[in-house]
Amino acid sequence: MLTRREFIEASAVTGASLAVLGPLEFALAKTSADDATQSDTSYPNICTMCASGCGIKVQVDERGGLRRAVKIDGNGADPFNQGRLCPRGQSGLRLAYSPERITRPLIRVAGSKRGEWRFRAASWEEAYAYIERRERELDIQPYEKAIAAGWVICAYYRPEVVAFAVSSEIPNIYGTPMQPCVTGEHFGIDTVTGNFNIHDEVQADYGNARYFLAIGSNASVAAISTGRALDLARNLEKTKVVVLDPRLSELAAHADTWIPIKPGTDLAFTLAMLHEMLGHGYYDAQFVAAHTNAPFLLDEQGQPVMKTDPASHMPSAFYVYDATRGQVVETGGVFHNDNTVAVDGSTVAPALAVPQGLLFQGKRVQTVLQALQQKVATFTPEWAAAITDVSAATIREVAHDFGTTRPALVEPGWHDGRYRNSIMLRRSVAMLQALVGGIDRRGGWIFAGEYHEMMADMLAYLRKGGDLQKYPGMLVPGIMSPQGVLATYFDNPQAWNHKHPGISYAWSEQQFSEGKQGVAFPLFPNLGYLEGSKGQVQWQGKPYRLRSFYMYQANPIRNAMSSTAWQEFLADPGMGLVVAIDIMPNDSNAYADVILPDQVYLERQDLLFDLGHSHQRGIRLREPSVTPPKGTKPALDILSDLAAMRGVPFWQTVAEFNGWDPAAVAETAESARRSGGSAVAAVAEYQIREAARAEGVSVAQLKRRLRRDGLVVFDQAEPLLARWAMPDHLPVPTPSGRLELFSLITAGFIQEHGYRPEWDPLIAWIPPETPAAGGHLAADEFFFAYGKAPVQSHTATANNDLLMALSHNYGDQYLGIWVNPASARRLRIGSGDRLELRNTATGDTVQGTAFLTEMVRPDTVYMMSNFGVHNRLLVGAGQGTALSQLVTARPESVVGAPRSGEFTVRLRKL
Amino acid sequence: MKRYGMVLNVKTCLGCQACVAACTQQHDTPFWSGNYRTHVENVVIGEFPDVSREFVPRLCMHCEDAPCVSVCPTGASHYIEGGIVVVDQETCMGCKACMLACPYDARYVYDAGDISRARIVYGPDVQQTSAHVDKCDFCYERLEEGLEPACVATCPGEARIFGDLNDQASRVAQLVSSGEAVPLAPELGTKPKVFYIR
Ligand code: SF4
Ligand code: SF4
Ligand code: SF4
Repeated sequence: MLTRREFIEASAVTGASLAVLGPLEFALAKTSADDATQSDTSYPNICTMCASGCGIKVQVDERGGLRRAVKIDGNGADPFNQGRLCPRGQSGLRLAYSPERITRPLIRVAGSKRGEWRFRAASWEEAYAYIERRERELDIQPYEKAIAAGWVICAYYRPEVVAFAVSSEIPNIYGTPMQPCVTGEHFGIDTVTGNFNIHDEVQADYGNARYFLAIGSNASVAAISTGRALDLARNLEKTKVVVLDPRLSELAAHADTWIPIKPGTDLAFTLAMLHEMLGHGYYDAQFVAAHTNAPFLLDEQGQPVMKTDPASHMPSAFYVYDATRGQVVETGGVFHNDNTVAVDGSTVAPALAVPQGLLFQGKRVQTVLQALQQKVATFTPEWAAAITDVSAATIREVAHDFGTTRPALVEPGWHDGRYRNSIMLRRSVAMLQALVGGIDRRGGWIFAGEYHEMMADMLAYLRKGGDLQKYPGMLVPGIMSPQGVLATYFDNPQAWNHKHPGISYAWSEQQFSEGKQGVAFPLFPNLGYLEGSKGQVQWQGKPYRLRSFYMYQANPIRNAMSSTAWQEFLADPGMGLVVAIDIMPNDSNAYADVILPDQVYLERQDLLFDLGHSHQRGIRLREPSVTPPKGTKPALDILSDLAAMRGVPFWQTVAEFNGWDPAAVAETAESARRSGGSAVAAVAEYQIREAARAEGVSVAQLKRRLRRDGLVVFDQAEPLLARWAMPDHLPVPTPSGRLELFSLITAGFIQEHGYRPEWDPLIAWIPPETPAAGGHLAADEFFFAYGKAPVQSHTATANNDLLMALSHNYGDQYLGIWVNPASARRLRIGSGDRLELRNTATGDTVQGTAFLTEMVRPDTVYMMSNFGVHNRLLVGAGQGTALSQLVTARPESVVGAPRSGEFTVRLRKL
Repeated sequence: MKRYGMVLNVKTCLGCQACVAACTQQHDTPFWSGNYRTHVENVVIGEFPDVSREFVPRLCMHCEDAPCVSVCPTGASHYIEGGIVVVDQETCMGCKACMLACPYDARYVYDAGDISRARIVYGPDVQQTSAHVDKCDFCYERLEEGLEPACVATCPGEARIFGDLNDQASRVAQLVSSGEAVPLAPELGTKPKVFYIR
């Protein structure tokens, strides 16, 4: 018998050196790499314990044709995590070998109620037949179905799920991480940089910044996204770290300056920073003039002066004032990155301020920067100090240091309590980063490697006269991709044979038409789902409600807010069918009628992915590292089966979205499926062939490299930035191609829905609806803040015995409610006391255990999110407090994000 | 001759416990009993807002004058190459003398209940097969393979630095000789080979 150490693969050591080889060396390294003996006891894979997607190597024990994982290590070949893993990544195999794994299709026992864990094992055929029969018997129409897709899907399977929905005529997708995560925060950044999901499109260059400002948002470093934490840790000595957070987070613990700001007031702080930076010229004027729309001219109404192409409705020119010639000149329209070149090719010195009283086309004009300066004129440090509880001197100092240190970096943001002003906050943060010229440059926000290629490819297509409307939607970089997907499908009744748009769009339109608050950009939210089940949503005069609900690794009861409403929604007798595709029991799939067993990432066959969060460009492959339990299937094969059963052209649509050959892919996938094989594996083969062709290497060689290292790097970061940095060399994916200090996207919202400060195209102050912006707290009342623990991601810890044990090592620091001892004394609360927390905005209550600590503001209580699950089968059941039970969503109006932090709580000792 | 040592950089430790998770699975230790070979202490000092917070990773100090080795009646606790202090699980009779002798609280009991549970948790090839007193062994089996200890290899804070203290070119030797890294409670006189940067 081999000992475990004999399994350790020699290539774990040699792998690291291969990662640094570029495309040229790739060919040269061929012989040595390919001839190396392959010891099959450690297999590469991609961690899926959070969305960072670190490279891993799975040590396995292999016998009798079965592979069992014994230890997970970091993959030294992965440029993101560089051989390291966080505690979640280390603990991934506990998920695979949990005794509660779902390893057979399950059908609800007749007579049992949704919410009870009473299922019987079934065959795949029986489970599929059950689904079909239910939907037929109840005559459920495609538009009455919805797919709730969890965070794994958001991170890896967006095109496939959209393709499944579109090809199945299902106009409802609820991306469960959308509102709380991607759009509810990042959308503000998107309005400046054109990104969509910044935590895989941007990897801030923590390792090279000289000044680092983090505003809340603790997931990147404090809760460990491995590559990010590592880069910052290596640079801590050389960079000044300033952290705004009402609690002393793991990151704040290492800060040069911790600023325990009042919850919900971060935007006042950044507005005052903008006031200072613009007022004192603390910005990179050359960069701002050349690559942002700061020099663009606005008329007296605040509208951009521009030319629009009548056919495409896209801007064909903008106007800037050329300081050299002393006159207004035309600069490029959509997808241009450089204001120093006029449309006629002449050189321009774009002025950030125009001479007073300048008239153009008969109108008085000024620049975007001038308008912005007027907007922030009243946001003085003294004004902000009164709101934020941070001294004006501190605000001045941070603005000065951030604005004058190069390179300066502000945390883009990942995970935080949400307010009505969260999107505007992130917009202001992106403005700060743009003002110091730190976009796609060392020490700033650097776009992921792949992202550059997408932009370069799309531009090449457009320059050849291609039509953007016909360009594969998933290949459009950034926010315009989901915008296009919404406009084409989910917000467009005409796109579907049944002529129904998504229920969220129907709900939002109804709200607007009744003069109530709607949502400007309902991107895969759950808006209208709960209202629909109460008969409150109409489309074309008829009630619109959902009757069939598919949860694909989604746990809305715990990972979205409003847990009680979700329980009611899932248990509602009008809900004809609830299907879950999942790995483990959770609080939501306890409401399923049928559960189809998916595979753990270690076992799964996947399509080819890009390098995710890395600055490098390349590809990654996930193949099973360990043997999956017999009755399970990779979820994409499950979707593939469901589609085939209904005669739906799923793979063809996937191919169309990705710009692949639809006929070839559909044929490959279908023949694999019919012969009992994996459609996913067959499509991955197709992708490898295409990648080999594009990079000019042999298929066999590429496969060997992928199988050994898990990934192949085609371009290193430096040459890639030298060629494709955005906006230095390529446009950013905003409508104008520039970093937009004036947002053309939110300007569009004004045209559609009228003005609201939430979508001010420049910037606006939005006070939190708590006493933070004036007023005072009652004796037992507190502001509320929450964040993420390093051992936790979504609810991943709840079904992982090791992570749960590690959580207990920190006790109530992780599982309890943080209360400052001074406040606790006042309320006679002792350490370990049971407390009731009541949300003063919604009346929701929840219980928790007091953790007395000096690490939190006396007027604030804090907790870690995502503990407190209920399903008794889970190792984390009943431990900690469920955030989703304390927060009824109350959507804000830009994307419908739940205002998950915008309330106070009252504490009562039980 | 090699003299292995570790430096823990408190300035960059993020308290994430990746090291603990790695160690646990490298050595099949009984997390269900709350016992680990390494753990991370969270030290909070002061009153809001003048409060500081530090994470201090702890493990066996691999003392050069190890009281655990001298008190061990069976020789189960002993030195191996590189000055690593290990416990032989077959020889250990579980008298716990070493636990009393160790001033750093670096040891715990891997009891019979844990042994049977380990077979379920880690599978049939579990490495821990008889009850004994357990502790860190600097992952000497990994060292033989040219790998770093599991905790060091995974640390996202790069807070654990490992090497040969006798090799003056090594980072650990430099950090120690420059005085940047110092032992914890040197006055105990056991000559630890684990050092801290604070
Ligand atoms: S940060 Fe941790 S959980 Fe996330 S992918 Fe990396 S190792 Fe996995
Ligand atoms: S893995 Fe590193 S950073 Fe994390 S707790 Fe351990 S020593 Fe600290
Ligand atoms: S720290 Fe304790 S267990 Fe480790 S060598 Fe010293 S005395 Fe022995």
